[in-house]
Amino acid sequence: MQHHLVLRVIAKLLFAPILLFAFYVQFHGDFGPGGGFQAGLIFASAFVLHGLLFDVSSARQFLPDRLLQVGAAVGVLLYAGTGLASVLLGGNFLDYDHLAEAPTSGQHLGIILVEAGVGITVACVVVMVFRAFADHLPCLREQDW
Amino acid sequence: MLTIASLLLLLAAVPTLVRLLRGPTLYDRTLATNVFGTMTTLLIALAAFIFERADLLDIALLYALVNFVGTIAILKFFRYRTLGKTPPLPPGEES
Amino acid sequence: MLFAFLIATALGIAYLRHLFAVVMLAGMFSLLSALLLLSMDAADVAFTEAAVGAGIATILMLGAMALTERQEKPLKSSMLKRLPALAVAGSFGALLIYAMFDAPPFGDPFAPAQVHVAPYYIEQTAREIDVPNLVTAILASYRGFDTLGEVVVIFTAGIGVALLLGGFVFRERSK
Repeated sequence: MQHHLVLRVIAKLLFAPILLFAFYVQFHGDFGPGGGFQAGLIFASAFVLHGLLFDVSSARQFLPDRLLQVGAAVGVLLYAGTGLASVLLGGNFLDYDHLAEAPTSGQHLGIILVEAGVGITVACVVVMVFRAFADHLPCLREQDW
Repeated sequence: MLTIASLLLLLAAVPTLVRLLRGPTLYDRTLATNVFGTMTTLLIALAAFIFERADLLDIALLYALVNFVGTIAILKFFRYRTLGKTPPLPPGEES
Repeated sequence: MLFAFLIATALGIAYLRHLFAVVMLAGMFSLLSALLLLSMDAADVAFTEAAVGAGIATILMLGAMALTERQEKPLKSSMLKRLPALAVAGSFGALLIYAMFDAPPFGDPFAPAQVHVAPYYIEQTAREIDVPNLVTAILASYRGFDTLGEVVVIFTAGIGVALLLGGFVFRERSK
């Protein structure tokens, strides 16, 4: 994509706002529509856009595959860990009342942690799947097109 | 006023849909998809004002951002026939 | 009107043999269903549909299409052989439509789904969880275990795709 100057500039301009919007959706999920799953998808679409326009190989330089694999697992572990932490603090599994002094602030903390886990997993998995496709695709031949 | 505007947008969606379904070339369809995405964004923003719910504007914003990514993917596939490593263009076809 | 659009798009998807166009129509289908969900005042679901359908699903379907053929194969079997399939699909659709007559009307406060646990959630969320968005409270707290299961499913699916497509784990070794 060396030639498409306009697209490259626009993508660079849009990359940060998409990430910002993803953070907004992630942490504003308590108040408006959205949450971890949607935020993860928006994160992923920012990185997918980068991968589309600047090739996956250059996207790997700042977000290596190993990091994606670890991230996908860390998200699940963060979710389950929140549940286990509430068990250790004397509640039921995923019962966030005991995570903080007051039950409601415990609930707030628990929901934020859990949503963060969902977001990390979804973002990493979607980018991973996109790269698996993009790596695997041969260029279609002329007669197939 | 806002209701009339949204009704007109819905009406305008009909020819777009026809172009998408009948479109002789792929380029027609790509353009129709993109136009329809823009119209959806506008409709959702109008709905946010009609129902007076500010959180619907988030959805419109999301569509505007994500639809762009989808269109780029379709156009890249259209041009280079792959999503991954961009192959060099055949000679005489630069830009 | 939106329903008419939706049906037209669905028919288009079934009718067209040109898979590239079908991918675009599928993106359009998701836009329309998000609008429909929005008109039912389900903002969270519309948000999810928007995030999944317009961008990521289109890209992944393009990738899947590139791995297969570009044109759907024309049907070879005769009309007679396809009749049982039509009969099964038609009767199932008729059954669903018949069942729809028994369903409570949209937004009925006395529907079974509304009288069981929903009032508890609506009344207690403000006191127990103190989160303005009810959907988030239910998903992340009351139904936290379900959501944990969903995250594990996504994780497993990602690993499965990466392994099946010969992703990146073994690439250096196999070369």
